[in-house]
Amino acid sequence: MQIVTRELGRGGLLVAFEGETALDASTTDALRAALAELGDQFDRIVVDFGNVSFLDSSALGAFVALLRRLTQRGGSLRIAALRPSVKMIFEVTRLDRVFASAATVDEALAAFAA
Amino acid sequence: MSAEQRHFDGGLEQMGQARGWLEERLRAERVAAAEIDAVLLAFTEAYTNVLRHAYHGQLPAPLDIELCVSSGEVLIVLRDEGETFQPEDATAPDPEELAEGGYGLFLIEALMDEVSYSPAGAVGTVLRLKKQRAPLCA
Repeated sequence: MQIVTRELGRGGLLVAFEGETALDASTTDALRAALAELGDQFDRIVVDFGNVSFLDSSALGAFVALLRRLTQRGGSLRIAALRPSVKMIFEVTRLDRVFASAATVDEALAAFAA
Repeated sequence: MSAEQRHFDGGLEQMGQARGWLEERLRAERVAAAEIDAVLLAFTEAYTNVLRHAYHGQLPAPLDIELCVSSGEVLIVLRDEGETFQPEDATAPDPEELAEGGYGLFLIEALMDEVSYSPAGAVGTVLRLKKQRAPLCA
């Protein structure tokens, strides 16, 4: 798992994954640590899931932790470009109700800029 | 009907290999994409539970996986040799509470059509996961 980031200005950050990425319990500790660090440094984060081919509940928990961290500080998190296999876990757990999502990264960035 | 077996014992590092094998077999059997997604997620949650609750993170963690695919269903049987595991509460956390865990058992139940746990002799558990396949023609 390789995370790549791009600063968006005004406390914003775009987070993406380098290459085809499966996020499961084998990567959760590293994912959780990386997201916690980014969540402490930035107030508004967009996560590009375009390269994420698989997401299980332990990795999902790392994104829930990030959402908690940001919203408690008045920040925000937006997830974008979810494949059907990844979208499914948000829908089945009904966490799609609490995560702001966008079909594309451009759409998510536009919503942040508005 | 096709049936195939694999043995894994390497813990979390091998889980991706197991999932890759399963995905390859399901695609070869022309299982629908949405059904493959559901099976792979339920399988991964089950495998993680075995490693955490039956083996408590200890290695080796022997796990035999049997896959049977017919025109009507996908059946996956996981046999471990760890502490017998009989889950009870598979309730989904309230999304508004932003729980960071507790989704695994619920996902297995929600994504599969039949789930059963039974003792595997003196030690271990047999977990059967069954997913009905949608008919190709109405």
